[in-house]
Amino acid sequence: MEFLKQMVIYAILITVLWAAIVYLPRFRSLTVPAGNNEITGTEELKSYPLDITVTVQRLRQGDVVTYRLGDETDDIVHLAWVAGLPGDRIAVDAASKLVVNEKPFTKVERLYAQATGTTLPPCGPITVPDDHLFLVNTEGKNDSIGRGPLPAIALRGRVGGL
Amino acid sequence: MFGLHPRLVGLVLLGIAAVLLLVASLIGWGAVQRWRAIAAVNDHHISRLSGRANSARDSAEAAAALLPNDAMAALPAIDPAADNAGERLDRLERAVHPRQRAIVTTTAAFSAALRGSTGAIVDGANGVLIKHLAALAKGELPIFPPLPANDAPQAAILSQTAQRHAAAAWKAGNRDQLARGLGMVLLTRPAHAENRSLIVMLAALDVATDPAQFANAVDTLGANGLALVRRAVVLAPERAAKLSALIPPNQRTPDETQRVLAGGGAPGETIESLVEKSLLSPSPPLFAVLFQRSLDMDKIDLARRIADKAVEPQQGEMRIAIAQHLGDVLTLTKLQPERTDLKPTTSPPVVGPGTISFHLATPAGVAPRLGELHARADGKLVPASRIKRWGSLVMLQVPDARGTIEVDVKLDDTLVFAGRVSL
Repeated sequence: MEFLKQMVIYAILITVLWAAIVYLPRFRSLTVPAGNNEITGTEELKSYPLDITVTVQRLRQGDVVTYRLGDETDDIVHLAWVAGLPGDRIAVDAASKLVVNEKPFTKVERLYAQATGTTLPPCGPITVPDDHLFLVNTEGKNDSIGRGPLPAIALRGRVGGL
Repeated sequence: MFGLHPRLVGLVLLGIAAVLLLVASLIGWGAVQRWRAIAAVNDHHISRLSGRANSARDSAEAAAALLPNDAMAALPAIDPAADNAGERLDRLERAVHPRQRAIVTTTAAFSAALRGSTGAIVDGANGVLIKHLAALAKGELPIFPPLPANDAPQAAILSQTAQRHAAAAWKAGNRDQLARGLGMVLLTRPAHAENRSLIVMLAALDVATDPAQFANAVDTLGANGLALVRRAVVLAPERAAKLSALIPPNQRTPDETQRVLAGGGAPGETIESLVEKSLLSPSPPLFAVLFQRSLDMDKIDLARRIADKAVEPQQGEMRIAIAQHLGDVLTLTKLQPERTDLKPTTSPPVVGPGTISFHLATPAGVAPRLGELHARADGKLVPASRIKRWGSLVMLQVPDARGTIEVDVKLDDTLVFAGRVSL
């Protein structure tokens, strides 16, 4: 009986430890810095749930994610919508709108090629490479319009509540 | 224990412990090496994202040195386009775990295609791209193949294929394939060092884009921008006029100026400035276009200046055209003395209350507009204020005349009508 009681206690402790390891990272949050308007719908200095366990395979089109570019520190926040997942076909049509798998991605009305000040000419389609994401935001600079499909290693997590 | 000497048992156990410790140390060391290699691979990716190529290469070499037989650690250090890539990839393919062999085989086939040789046959999207790369390496330019649905290619293979496709299409002068290739390069590598050139070229080839929209981008590219525009003119001849207008006037060739004029001229550029420049470097085709445009705009001075600079037979044709435009019948007669259809004549006069009207023209259809008209009615000179002209139509106002009178009309000294008219 004593042995059984000890086993139950051990099982509970292991379960709690496992749950802490698996679920605690999902209860992290991301505070949107002042001046960040990379996607519509966010409020400055407000905290949003951040799931850092998410992988490319679990993301869906339209999810909001945060990511880091190169060796940026965590206080630099980039936000974007997932427009294309690996295998999706991405193009820019004659109206300079993003088209994903032949359907317009309506989150961004118009895309701009930075630096030139001109609208992005029609281009593509390309297939989003393996282990990469096509991310877009309203600024079109630090996203896939400015940098191309971003590798999974750039992903910091999925932002909830948006 | 079992009749054995305790010391012997102790020694055996000590030996076993030593072996286990050695195994544990080896496993631990392997784990540390693996952890360091993964950290180096991560550094490699982060450096690549940051655009630090040297740092990325160093990290990749470090990872490969730590785990030389692991595909994930060793592959980033191998440049598929390098001469020794085939040998390194062959060695890696034999050394890696079977689970990782497919990616090494794909990389080897990619490397072979880049170097123009045939590698292993690969399935899926990567296989399609590698086959296309091999065709491009042979000098062919097949259309860019559609990739299998839901099969994502490797980023490096896709990017490299797009760039090589664009380069091959550029060399071949294939407009559609060039636009396809450039569009893919722009989407896969928008931060490419030549990204502005890509945007200009792609926009130039796109019929939906107004070239004026990217005029500033062409300016920022300098000589390279002009070369791109000139190439675009060749590739998209139906847009030649609008594209040529992006070239600064002082750098246009006569042909380009001609194209611009044919398309209505560049925005903000006057005919005067174009004529001035054309007079400095005479060109018969350019003269022809500018001359006609000057006449159409009724800028006779400019037309005369062009005609003065032109050489025969163009000069004679231009002088005739000016005289014809002005309705200068006398000059036309002098310039073409052999023609008999240039003598001014009138239509039968039409009589109204106090007026005599007729058309004045040559049989060739030229209505004289230069020269003074002199008329006499019933022996009296009709004052110039009572001779009205609207093009070829002439009306003499003779309010005092009655009955049948004698009328004669002269253009300068040439008699064009003489006869009796009944009012």
